[in-house]
Amino acid sequence: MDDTTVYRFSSINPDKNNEFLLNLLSRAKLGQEDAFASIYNLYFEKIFRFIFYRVSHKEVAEDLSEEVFVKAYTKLSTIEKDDSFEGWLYQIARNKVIDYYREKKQTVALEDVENILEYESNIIDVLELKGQQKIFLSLLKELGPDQQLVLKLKFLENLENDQIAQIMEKKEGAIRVIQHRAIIRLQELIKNWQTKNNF
Amino acid sequence: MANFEDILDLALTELKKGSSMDEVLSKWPQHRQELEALLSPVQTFLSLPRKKAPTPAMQRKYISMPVKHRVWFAWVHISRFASVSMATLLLIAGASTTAYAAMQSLPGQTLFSLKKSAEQMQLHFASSDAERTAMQMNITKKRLAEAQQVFSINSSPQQQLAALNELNSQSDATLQDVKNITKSDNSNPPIAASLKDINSQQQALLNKIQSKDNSQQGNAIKQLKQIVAATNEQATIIALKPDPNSVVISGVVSHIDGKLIAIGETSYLTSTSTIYKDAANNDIKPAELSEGQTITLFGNKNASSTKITAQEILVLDTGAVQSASTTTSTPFIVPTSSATSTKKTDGDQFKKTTSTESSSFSEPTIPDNQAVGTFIPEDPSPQYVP
Repeated sequence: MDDTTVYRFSSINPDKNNEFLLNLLSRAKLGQEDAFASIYNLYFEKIFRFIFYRVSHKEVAEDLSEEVFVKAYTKLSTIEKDDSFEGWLYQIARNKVIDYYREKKQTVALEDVENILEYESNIIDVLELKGQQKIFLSLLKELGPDQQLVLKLKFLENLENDQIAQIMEKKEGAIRVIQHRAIIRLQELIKNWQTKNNF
Repeated sequence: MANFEDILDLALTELKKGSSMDEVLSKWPQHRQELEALLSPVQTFLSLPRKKAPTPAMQRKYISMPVKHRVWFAWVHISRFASVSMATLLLIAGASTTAYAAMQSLPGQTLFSLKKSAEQMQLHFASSDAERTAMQMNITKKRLAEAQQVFSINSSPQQQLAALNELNSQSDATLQDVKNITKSDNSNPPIAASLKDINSQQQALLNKIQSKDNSQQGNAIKQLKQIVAATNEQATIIALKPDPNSVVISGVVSHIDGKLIAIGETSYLTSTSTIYKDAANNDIKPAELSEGQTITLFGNKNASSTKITAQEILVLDTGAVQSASTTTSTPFIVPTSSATSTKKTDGDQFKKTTSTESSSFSEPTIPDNQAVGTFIPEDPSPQYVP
């Protein structure tokens, strides 16, 4: 593969090309702009989606996404573990969203940024929901903030454990524990609802 | 053995990838019941209908929005236009500390990319392919000097690798430009000389870094070796290109008269810029040249007259009496036409010889039936062994 090629977004799934990404990253750290441009192209859409779901505004999401990459470029040399680059990028994106709400003078708790503001409705097509799915979503809101967040990031936004860990500033092991407890709790809630409603 | 949290995580990953519930459960039969109960709500989660996310505007947006903090980003991005704009700013702000620091920066340093952008902008505005190639060669020489500097100071392996990568990348680009230009332009003595210079510097750097333990730069060094070989080959190819104005004559000096040197019956002009060298390639004084010496003369035909001016005179020996005009002792032969001959002149440089000559003593005349040039010594060993 030609190293100097600038990759367009969507052409490569960076999640499945870890070695390829690490190579791009090491070259970008050396100041090779084509490598950073490739990283940008690979991740821009993902980061845009992540932000868009939280701000519900396309242009704002585009602006914030650009700022994420400005910051990533200027701070590239500070990454200690190249393996955690993607999570680091999501962490910057999350902080940008928080800054955005702070600038708007909206008092939002950090964990709520991911859980409120029509977050799910930006991903889920509510009009297409079936009865059981609606109940499922209402039960999901009964989970604790961390539990909701882990499940949403993992199953709605398709993120990996290491990325979720960075976003939530926790260890991967802790994410697995939260995930386990969240699913058990969700299962219990569903069972209770079924019993209550003779389902 | 992995704990259940890890097994659940693996099972969830399989489910996310699109495996069916049965496929996932069959992988962990001992946890089948427990997993089945937990994976069921996750299946519901994954089956939720999704909206299609809008497609973001990317390049176009920040180029058209001159927001101050985005200028950097516009430059960072692939846009050539934005890159050139930033480099222009850098050049305009040439007196500023940042610009100065950028111009002095070395590979691996933050401001180095600014320096490269400025160079790219200069290349962008080159008025011709020849000018662009000359610029590329100058940039390559800069990269060589930077690499020399990086390997001379106590720099980190990362910076050394960056310097080598930058050098390799630039050398490669230069070589491509040289190849392109020499396709259309057969005669390029300045390019050949410059390429030779670059090649010797590359070789010197390679020798320097190979003597140290540079295991981290293994691939970059390997690439540099290939580039050194390719550059050397290209320099030779250019030198071999027929140049209708260049002349190489070997023979015994029959007469010296001021600025005129005669080989056999033909005279050649010398000038203050003529270089005199002995067989060991050391510079000698013009006065050391005397009649009876065997020399090789590298000359150029004058544009305004038919005279040939000697650019370099190489004294091969100091008194052997040989027939004048076109003899050579070199075994390397290139087939010649009736009017031209090509001779090996030094270690690896070949020049085409034309025998179009003029002289204040006498005009050379070559009979039609006489071959001019060197003879091909036949290999005495049998060419075919049954």
